[in-house]
Amino acid sequence: MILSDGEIQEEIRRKRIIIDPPASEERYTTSALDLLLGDELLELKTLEELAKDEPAGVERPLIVDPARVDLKVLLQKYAKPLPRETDGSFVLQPRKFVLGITREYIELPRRSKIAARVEGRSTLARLGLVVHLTAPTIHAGFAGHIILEMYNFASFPLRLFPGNLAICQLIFERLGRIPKGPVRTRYLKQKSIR
Amino acid sequence: MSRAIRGAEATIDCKIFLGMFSSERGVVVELPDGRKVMAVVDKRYVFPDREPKPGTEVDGRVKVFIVESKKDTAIVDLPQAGLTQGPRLEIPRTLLR
Repeated sequence: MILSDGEIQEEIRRKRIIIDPPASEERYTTSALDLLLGDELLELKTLEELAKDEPAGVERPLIVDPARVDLKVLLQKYAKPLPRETDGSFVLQPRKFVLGITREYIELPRRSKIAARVEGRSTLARLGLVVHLTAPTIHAGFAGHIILEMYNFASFPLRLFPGNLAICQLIFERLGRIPKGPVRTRYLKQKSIR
Repeated sequence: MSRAIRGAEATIDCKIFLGMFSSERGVVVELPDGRKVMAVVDKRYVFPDREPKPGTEVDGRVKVFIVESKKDTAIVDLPQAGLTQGPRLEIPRTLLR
């Protein structure tokens, strides 16, 4: 069941959904809550930039194997900040992929039995902006800022103002039961990030 | 030894490094059998001895949520954020603070 605006506000009031900073009234639609673009956008480095960082003797061309990539390397090596314009905005060039982040910290405690989905907004979609690529689920138990996988399909650049632009919407859904979490056999054998 | 209470929060030792975004931190928890578990969590869940610099890791602690408490061990969840689904670990209770 998808939560309505009133139900979302009620769950926030009861601290069963935590949004920090709190959302103003106009960010609620009938069945979703709009979130704002955060202060950082990251772009993936070019092959040339990555190659420059590699020690001599590394296999060329560089190929990234997602199943074997080290998380620490993933976090610290493949992306760099997208510079901001003098007015504080980001300009997202056509056919450009970047990682963004919501301004709001979101927490969905397990006991709340609430999960969510991050979705785009229609105005931005019509301008060619995609804000997530295949990863919309915010699982029950999540705590953090939501990472956005953004791509500009348009043939023109888009100016995006952090802290001001409602970049995505969050749709909340109620679970039937409190999630049990990983079963014992899984956590005992777990070796890496899933 | 700490008293581990189901549903309570505690912290455990870990290594901490910077994430992609300034609000993220990577953590590495080393289990007694030598296995290392990595996770990316919101920085409000980590307590570094000092702020990590790019490419380095520092000692610190990460908040965990106690799922089950046994005589000598506890099953805990790491905070669940984007790149993880809250790795669940069984650790000696002596590691909890």
